[in-house]
Amino acid sequence: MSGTVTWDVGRTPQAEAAIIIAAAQRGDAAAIAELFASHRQQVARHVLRMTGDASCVDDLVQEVFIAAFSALTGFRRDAQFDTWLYTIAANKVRNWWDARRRRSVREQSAIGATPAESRGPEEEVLAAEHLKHFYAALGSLPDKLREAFTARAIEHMSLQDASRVLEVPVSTVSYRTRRAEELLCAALGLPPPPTRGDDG
Amino acid sequence: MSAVDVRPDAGEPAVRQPELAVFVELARAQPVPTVRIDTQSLIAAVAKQRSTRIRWASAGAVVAIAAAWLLWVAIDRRAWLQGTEATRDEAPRVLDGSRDGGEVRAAEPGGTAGERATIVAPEDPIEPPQPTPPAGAAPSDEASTDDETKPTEPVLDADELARRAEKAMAARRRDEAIALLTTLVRRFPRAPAAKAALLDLGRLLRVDGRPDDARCAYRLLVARWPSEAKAPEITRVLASLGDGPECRGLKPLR
Repeated sequence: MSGTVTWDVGRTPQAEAAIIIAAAQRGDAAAIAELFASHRQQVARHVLRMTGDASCVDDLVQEVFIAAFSALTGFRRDAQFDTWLYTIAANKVRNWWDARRRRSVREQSAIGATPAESRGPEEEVLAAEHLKHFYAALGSLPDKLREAFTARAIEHMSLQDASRVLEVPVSTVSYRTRRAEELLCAALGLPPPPTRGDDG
Repeated sequence: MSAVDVRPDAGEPAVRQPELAVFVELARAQPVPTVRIDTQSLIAAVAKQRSTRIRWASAGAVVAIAAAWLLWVAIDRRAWLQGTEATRDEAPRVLDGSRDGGEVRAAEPGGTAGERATIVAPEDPIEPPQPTPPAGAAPSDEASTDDETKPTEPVLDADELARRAEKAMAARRRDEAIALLTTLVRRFPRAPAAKAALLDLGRLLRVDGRPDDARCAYRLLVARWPSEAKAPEITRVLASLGDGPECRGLKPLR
C-alpha cells in the first residue's frame, strides 16, 4: 500500500466518497483508514441491533471491514458503500447466529453479560431482561425472516431500502417481516399482531 | 371466500403489535459501544488477507501451468509414437527382445519363486527412429554425410517410401531405389515395410557392387527378424558374401 490521497473541502460528499473509495481500491492506506473511521460506528450499530450482544460488536465489525477491504477491488463504484457494508454485516451476523445456536448453555448465558445488563435501577434490569428475551426469540427465527424484521423494524428501513440491502423483492420483504412478527409474538407470549384487514 | 390483497402497502408499518413494538424500541435504543479496533492492525490484517489470496492464486496458477505442461508432453509423446508407426502388430516386438536379436530368459516353470526374467540386449543395436524433419527442412546430419542415403522427400511415410522405391526399381533407377529404401529402414525401423525393404536393399547393394553394405543390410534384417535367419535366400546370400567388417546399422565399420 503506497501513496496518499488528499480531499478537497469543496467537493460534494458523494464525490469525495467516490475518490476515497477509488483510492482505497488502489490500496491507499490513508483512504482505507478514512473509510474505516467514517463507517465503523455505523457498522457497529447495525451489528448491535442485529445481535443484541455488545460483547461481539468489536469482533464482528473487524470481520466486516476485513472482508470489505479485501474484496474492495470488486466493489462497483455506482453502488452505495453503506449498503454494501450492511450486506456484508448481515452475512457476518448470520454466521454469528449460526455459531451461537451451536454454543453451549454456558456461552448462551453470556448474552446478559452486556453493559445493558449491569445492575442498576429496576427499570434497567427489566429492560435488559426484555432485550434478552427479545433477542433470544429473534435468534430462533430463520435467517431470512430475522434479517427482514431487523432491517424493517429495528433499523427502520423503508420497504424499498430493505429490498435493496437484502436483495429480494419488496413483496418478499413485506411477507417475511409480517411472518417474523407473528413468530416473535408467539415466542414472547404476546397476542398475535392484527391482520391486514384489522388495520383498517 | 374473499380474495386477499397481498401487494405490500408502501406505508405499511414494520411492527403492528404494540407490545412487540416496545421490545423493538428497546433494541433500537441500545447504546452503541465505541469500536476499539486499531486502524493499523486492521490494515495489516487486510494486507495479510490479500497476500494470502495472492499466494493461493499463484499456487493455483503454478498448478495449472504444470498440468498444461504435462498434458502437452503427453500429447507430444503420443504424436511422436504415432510418427514411428508403431502398430498393434508390432507392439509385441517391443517387449520381445529375442526377436530383435537379443535374448529373453524367462524363469523356468520349476524355478524358484521370485526368479525374474532377464532380457539381454541385442549385439547389433537397432537404429533409433529418426525424427521426421519438417517439410522443407534439410536432411539429417547422417543422411547428409552419405549421399546415397539422402531422402528424396523428407516427410514421406513408410508406405509411400516403399511405393516410390518399387517404382524406382521398376524403372531401373537403382541409386534412387537404394536411397529410398535406406531412408525407409532408418526412419521406420518397426514398420512392416522395413523387412521387405531390407531384402530389396541387400539385393540392390549386392548388384551395385557393394558387398559390405549388402552384408550389413542382411545382418540388420536377421537382427530385427531372427526368424528370417533360416530363410534359404538369406542363408545362401550371407554365405556367398562371406565374412566382412562389423556393421553399425546399415554402415560397415571399415
